[in-house]
Amino acid sequence: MKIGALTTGETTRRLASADGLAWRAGPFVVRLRADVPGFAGQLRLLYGEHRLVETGETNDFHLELARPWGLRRWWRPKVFFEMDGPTRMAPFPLDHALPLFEWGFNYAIATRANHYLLLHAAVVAQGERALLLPGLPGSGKSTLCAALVLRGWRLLSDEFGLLRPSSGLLAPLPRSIALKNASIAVIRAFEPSAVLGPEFPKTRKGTVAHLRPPPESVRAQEQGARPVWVVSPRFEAGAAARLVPLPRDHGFLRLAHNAFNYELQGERGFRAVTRMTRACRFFDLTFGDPGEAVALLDGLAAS
Amino acid sequence: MTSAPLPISWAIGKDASWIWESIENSFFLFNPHSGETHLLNAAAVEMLEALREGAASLPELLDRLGVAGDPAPYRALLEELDRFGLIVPAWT
Repeated sequence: MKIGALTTGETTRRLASADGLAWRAGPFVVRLRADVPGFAGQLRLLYGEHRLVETGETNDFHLELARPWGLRRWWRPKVFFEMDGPTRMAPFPLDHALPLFEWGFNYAIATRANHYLLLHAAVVAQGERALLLPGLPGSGKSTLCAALVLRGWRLLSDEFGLLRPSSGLLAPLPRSIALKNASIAVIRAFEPSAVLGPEFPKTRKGTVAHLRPPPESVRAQEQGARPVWVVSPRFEAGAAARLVPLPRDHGFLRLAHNAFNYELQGERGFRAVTRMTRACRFFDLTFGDPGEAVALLDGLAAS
Repeated sequence: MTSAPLPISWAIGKDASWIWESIENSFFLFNPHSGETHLLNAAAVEMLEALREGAASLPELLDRLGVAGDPAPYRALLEELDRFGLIVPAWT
């Protein structure tokens, strides 16, 4: 049963219950408690295709969106993200519970999922061949990831390349794509039928809106993909799309620097990065128009 | 006042169970004891290989490597490898 099969009222009730609501997101089972007005409808929009977990499966993450008692419950109300209790994450305004949950979920993965080599990258695929888009904030990573999945690439993740060191495969974690500021309008113009959640102004990253993951990507969330291309995007207003190959030794450094937990992984991480470096081709991509960049990457995949 | 004797020889540590990978024109060395990965150029690799034959002073190393001329870059390289913890001074 999918989250989308529940009514908004039932989703609200389950989220507020002692057990919360549990679902499978890629390789993880997440259990969330939340007593936040309006949140259930937003969750259903972005996670509607995700399969509910009723009982019998081990939860990887116990998360909660907690409302404080006292003044901040009523006056300029706040909401806290908790993972097995309080975290250091600063509270958000109550009506920003969705971006808080998405960032909190990222925090949970980044701090707990150390059985993976955690690459900070968007990942899309054609069939079982994966394209990684590592990039710093502002590089256009999420914009390009959104454009690619809106043109038929399979979404594995907008945030994490989850590399299984034992197999060298990337585990999908298809969730929403967080678009920020000008990229929201860019993607609306690029694909007017794109389904986005509400806009949240004045977050720490400016205005944020979440693009719903393609349902077919969520349905394929158990199909791993092998890394084939690593493309580091850089958005430059007005620039023609240009793909420049990089030597593999540069690629090794990029992957190692890009992994959240490379040093923690020790020898396993070194071997995983070496294996991935040998298997991949590396590029820098400058682009000013997402459509041009998609055409270049389609060409790369076809070559 | 006395000063510590200067190292005149260098050696690879006894527990140097490094893992090497060569990718295109670069050498990547993983040191399991420090958990660090080092990107080495060919000169550093040749120097470490030469030290595998046994502890050596700088002149002895240059002789093993068949290098003549200014030793300053090689001295700097030895100091850098020492700083990375890949070699140790052999005190006399």
